[in-house]
Amino acid sequence: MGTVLGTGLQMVKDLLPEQVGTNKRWTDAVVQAVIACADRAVRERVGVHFHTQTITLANDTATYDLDPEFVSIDTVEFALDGSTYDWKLEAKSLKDMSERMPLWRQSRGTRPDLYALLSAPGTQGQTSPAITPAQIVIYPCIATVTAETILVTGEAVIGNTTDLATATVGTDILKKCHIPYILSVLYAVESPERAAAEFQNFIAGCQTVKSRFGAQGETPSRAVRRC
Amino acid sequence: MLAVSTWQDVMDLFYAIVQDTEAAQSYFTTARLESWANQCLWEMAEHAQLIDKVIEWTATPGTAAYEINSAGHGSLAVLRVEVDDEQIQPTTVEQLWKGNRDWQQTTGLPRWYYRDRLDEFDTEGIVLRLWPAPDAANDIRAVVAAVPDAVDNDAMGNVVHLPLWAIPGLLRGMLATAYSSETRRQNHGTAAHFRAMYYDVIDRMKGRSAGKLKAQLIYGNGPTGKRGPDWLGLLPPDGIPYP
Repeated sequence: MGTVLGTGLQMVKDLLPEQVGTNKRWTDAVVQAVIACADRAVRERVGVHFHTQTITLANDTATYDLDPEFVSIDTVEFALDGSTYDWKLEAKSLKDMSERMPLWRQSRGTRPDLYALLSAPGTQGQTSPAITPAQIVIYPCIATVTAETILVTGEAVIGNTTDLATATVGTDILKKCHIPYILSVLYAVESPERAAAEFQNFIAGCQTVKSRFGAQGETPSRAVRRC
Repeated sequence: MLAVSTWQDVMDLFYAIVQDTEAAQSYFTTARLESWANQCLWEMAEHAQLIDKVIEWTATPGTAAYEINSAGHGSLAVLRVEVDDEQIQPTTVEQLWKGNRDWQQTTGLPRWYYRDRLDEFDTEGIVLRLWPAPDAANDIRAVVAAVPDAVDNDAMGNVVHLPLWAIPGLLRGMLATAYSSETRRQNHGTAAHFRAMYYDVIDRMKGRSAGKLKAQLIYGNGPTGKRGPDWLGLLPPDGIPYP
């Protein structure tokens, strides 16, 4: 096992001798940025890296922002006391909510039963200037909260550079998945044919690794729904 | 650059891959990159409909038609319309004629909306009409499939309005356009390769943003090596209606 950035960079240097480093064709920083892109592509495709987000509910509020790490949402759990998650919300659409309760936006309860999503999970947002991220909508929302929280779990990529700097991955996964992706970018101008072949190697590598994890047990069901 | 999150990150990585710099702009200007990026964002949105925007306004009594883009959103499709928090249903002019020959004079609480036979070719986005035309200042809420917020060279630190995992796809789309344009770096082979990578991301986004699935339809993690490429398993079956 090695770090994604450190071991990945060394592998690229070994494969492209004298081409990566200071005053060379590719700087370490550029190759590491490509490794970061590769890591996202691998985690999105293989789907075995998970992220959780705890959201503290607010009075009369149905819509909450989701973290950009998410690729998909698997489960949403509810805790009345903020820590004991003993209630699972069902993934639905806004249309389902309307069918169940036409004026669902105005109804209130003590425990949310359903959730829907707005925008693809992982869509980035920011406060100023306002860019709206992916959001979760719960039904019913709670009129007066005390300590209620929901816990959102889903497949994810690594979202920040600090975590990426220390992230580790199996060496053979780096070889099968990350390295072909990186070479498919770095060889794109010099040899588009080689680059295309490496991209196919990346797809095949991810499929192999995904199969390896999938064979270990039950595949979790996943629902991604919005309106 | 390592974060690959903001427009500045994407631009830095673009220049590094094409062996150029933002300061020199030897082959590609920043203005051209901005244009290409926004073109790719629009293309991604049209294919994958990954961004939902909620647009709210107050109806003007007696006014049935509203241009959703008037709020500055690049809207592609109407997914849902609510009047005073209650969902209203889509209909057509033909249906309205069948139901009531005086339908155009009817006012009241809107219960339907329609989008056909409206001249929207010359507008920036979507026009919809409510029926009956509202007779009060109702609260209207529309959920639309929208284009991501545009990248802007005057706001380089803004995040790119895409899922974090899909941002490298935007870079591939820009590279594909760059290498196919008439410059000294033109290379159709390289452009084709980057375009293939770009479309691969768009294909996967189609699956990831398949939020318009019917409620009872649940799809799993895809095949475990016994079938074809797993992105096939991400795509929803045909014929799934919009909400």
